[in-house]
Amino acid sequence: MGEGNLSLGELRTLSLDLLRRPPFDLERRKFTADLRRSLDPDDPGEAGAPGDPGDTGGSGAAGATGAAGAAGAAGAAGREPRGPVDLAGKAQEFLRSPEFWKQWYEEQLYYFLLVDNFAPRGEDMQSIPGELAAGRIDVREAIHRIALSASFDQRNPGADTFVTVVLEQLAGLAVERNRRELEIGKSVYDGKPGNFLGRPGASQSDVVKSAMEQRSFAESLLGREHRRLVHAAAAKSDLKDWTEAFLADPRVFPDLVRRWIGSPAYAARLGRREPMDNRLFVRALIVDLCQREPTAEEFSRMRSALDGLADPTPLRAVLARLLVDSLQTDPRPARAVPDAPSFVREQFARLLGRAPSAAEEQELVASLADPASRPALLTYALLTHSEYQSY
Amino acid sequence: METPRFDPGTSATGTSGGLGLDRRQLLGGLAAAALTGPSALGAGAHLGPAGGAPRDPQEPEPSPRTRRVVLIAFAGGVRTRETFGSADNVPNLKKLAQRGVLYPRMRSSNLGHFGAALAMFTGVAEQRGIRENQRGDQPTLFEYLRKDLQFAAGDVWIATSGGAQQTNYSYGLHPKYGARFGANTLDSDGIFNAEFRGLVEHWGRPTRRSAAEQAALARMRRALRGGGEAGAAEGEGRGRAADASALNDQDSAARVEQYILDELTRGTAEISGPNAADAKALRTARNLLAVFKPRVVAVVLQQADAAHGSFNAYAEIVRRNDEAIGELVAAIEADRELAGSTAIFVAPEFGRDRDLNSRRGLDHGDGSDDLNYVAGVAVGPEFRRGVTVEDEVAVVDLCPTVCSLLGAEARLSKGRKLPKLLA
Repeated sequence: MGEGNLSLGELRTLSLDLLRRPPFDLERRKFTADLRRSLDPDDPGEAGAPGDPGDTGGSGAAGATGAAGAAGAAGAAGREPRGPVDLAGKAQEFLRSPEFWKQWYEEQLYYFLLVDNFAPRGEDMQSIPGELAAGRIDVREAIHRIALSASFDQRNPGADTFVTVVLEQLAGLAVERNRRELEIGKSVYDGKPGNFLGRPGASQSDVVKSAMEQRSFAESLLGREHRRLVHAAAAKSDLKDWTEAFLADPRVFPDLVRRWIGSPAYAARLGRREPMDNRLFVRALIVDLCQREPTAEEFSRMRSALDGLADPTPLRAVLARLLVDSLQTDPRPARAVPDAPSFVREQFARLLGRAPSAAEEQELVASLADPASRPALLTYALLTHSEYQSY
Repeated sequence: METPRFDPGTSATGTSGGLGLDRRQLLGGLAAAALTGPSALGAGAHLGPAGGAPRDPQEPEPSPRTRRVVLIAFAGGVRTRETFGSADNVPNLKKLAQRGVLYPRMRSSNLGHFGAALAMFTGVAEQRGIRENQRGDQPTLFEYLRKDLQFAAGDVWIATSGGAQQTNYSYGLHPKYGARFGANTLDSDGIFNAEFRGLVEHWGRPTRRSAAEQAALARMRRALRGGGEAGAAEGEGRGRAADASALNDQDSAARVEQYILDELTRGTAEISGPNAADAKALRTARNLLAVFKPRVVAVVLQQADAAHGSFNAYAEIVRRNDEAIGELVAAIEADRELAGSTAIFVAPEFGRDRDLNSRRGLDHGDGSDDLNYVAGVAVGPEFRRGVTVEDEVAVVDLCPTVCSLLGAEARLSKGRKLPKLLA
């Protein structure tokens, strides 16, 4: 592997961080082909060349490579223009995709707990990811629109709750240290003129506007987003610089994300595993098993159920088992798998983003020879393995 | 403003409710109890002995007959005016008070619902963000109990109704405690709902694995790095971050797995009405008691917070939650093992404002006594009966009281044991 190129595991991590899903099989195969071509320009780079773990025909429950669900992934990887295989290039590709903004938007809604019955449904809300991707609005404007939505109002009923949430979640201020502002804000919310957070206002929307004009809004947003994407707290001096840049022009946000992904902090993140939150687990499970994204209904129901447990591990196992059993794409005995070593490698590449160790491969191939074994059993073992719960 | 007072009236008499029912019979009995409506908690039932004067502190400690505790956070912000201050909103809580100890001056703090309910479990009142989805810094009573008394994960449960945020009640971030001593937490409405059950039914029940398949699976798991045990794996040499999977070992995780599948078919998912989420939490608690016989079950209610928008909706939720609490108590009394060994505590996390807001609802932020004082009740086999303790106590006292009752110590709690409780 060339210096600076991503490994399969790092590709999986980057994809999960930025697109909130693992790569589809076709994307992974194309990446593998691109990687080979980057090392050897004479290599035709066709998916299926010897040694490509993505070209083993995928069998078993996880072998349903639904091409239709690959959402724009290359069809015949080798004939496609070569894509980036390094961190900066791949991050750039992801950040330019509408998918990144769709997931950014969904994460903001979750932050404000605007999910399930409180999920915004209006067209002006649904269009936010597209407008962000096209550069027609910036993240500040997107959040402003969210905070002015009927869903936000219904989620936070009444002056006390609304102003408290605005102070805490938008302005990034602790209410116990801003009791006076809370009282002023409640009065402004009720239509009485007042000076809330240093700005005049006389309406509910003025409460939101004043909060979003605070420096602390930019600071808390950037700190939160850095922690979400890089999995580490930002250095104070960096946060100060980013905040200045954001206050000068909020359209700088995508550039900031690009810098975060290229930072030593993200390089360190690629060197360690982070637990998957429930939203990510649901998306990963469906993509890995079904080669499509979950429907809104599937996602909402599974996420709500998992979020209801302090330890979601048992329910994750239930969901994995139900899904593996229901797919039933490959009920044949494992002995019928023609190339067991390739099958094992393919499952590892898809679900864990790595090759099996020699010992793992040897023992798992031997396990598959067991008359009671089925390919789906290996899939289930990997999905319920603790390594799958992190990335 | 005058604080509402409650006259507990005459003590109830009666006999043990132990009927020796098995789990199936208990669950069937619960359904029957549900049909009896708000008065499910019969006047003749009792959870403890008759008793009058408080125990002399010089006397030796009584033999521990309290083996289990049910702690109900009647949360969402509930004023005493709508509970013990009303004529007939909470007949079941009043009956509990007749057979236990009522604390009408229980001080609370408006720390936000999340922070205030968390304070009940940690014994430390700390402000938390209204939408904050972070664990607290202090250990919870569940952690004290599991660490001090070696309780298993299946011994300690929380049933909630308020969504993801409330799973943070399970355990805190204190380095000497944490996930490995946490409580299993179930947000009943999030899991046991018709939509999720529909999804599971769509996928179909999992196929039963033969012993040979189980063995093959076990062999595969052993072959994977770290053996597949929670918390043991590493991939590509990268260390694994700590997470909540430390809470259950493989055995208890398997039991929880099976419980969830079973509970989805028990009818909890069908509960509806304005207090549906709270009622599901209470139903889940009684089913957990039947299935796991845990040492501690906490229930966190939340829907009374509908008061922001409507006083009438709030009052109706208070009434319905009282009814559901009556059903839970009736179930405990119908179980021979639980009836004579279970203590029950019920208290709101804080009250609500004195006056209605412009929407004819009730917020929580005026600093009045209606907000800052709530009424709590305790009933159990070792407690006094039919007594009202006028002393000022605090909701943070619940944590050390529960811990002490079962033999643990809430070392970092700022509360004190509830006074004049033991017979």
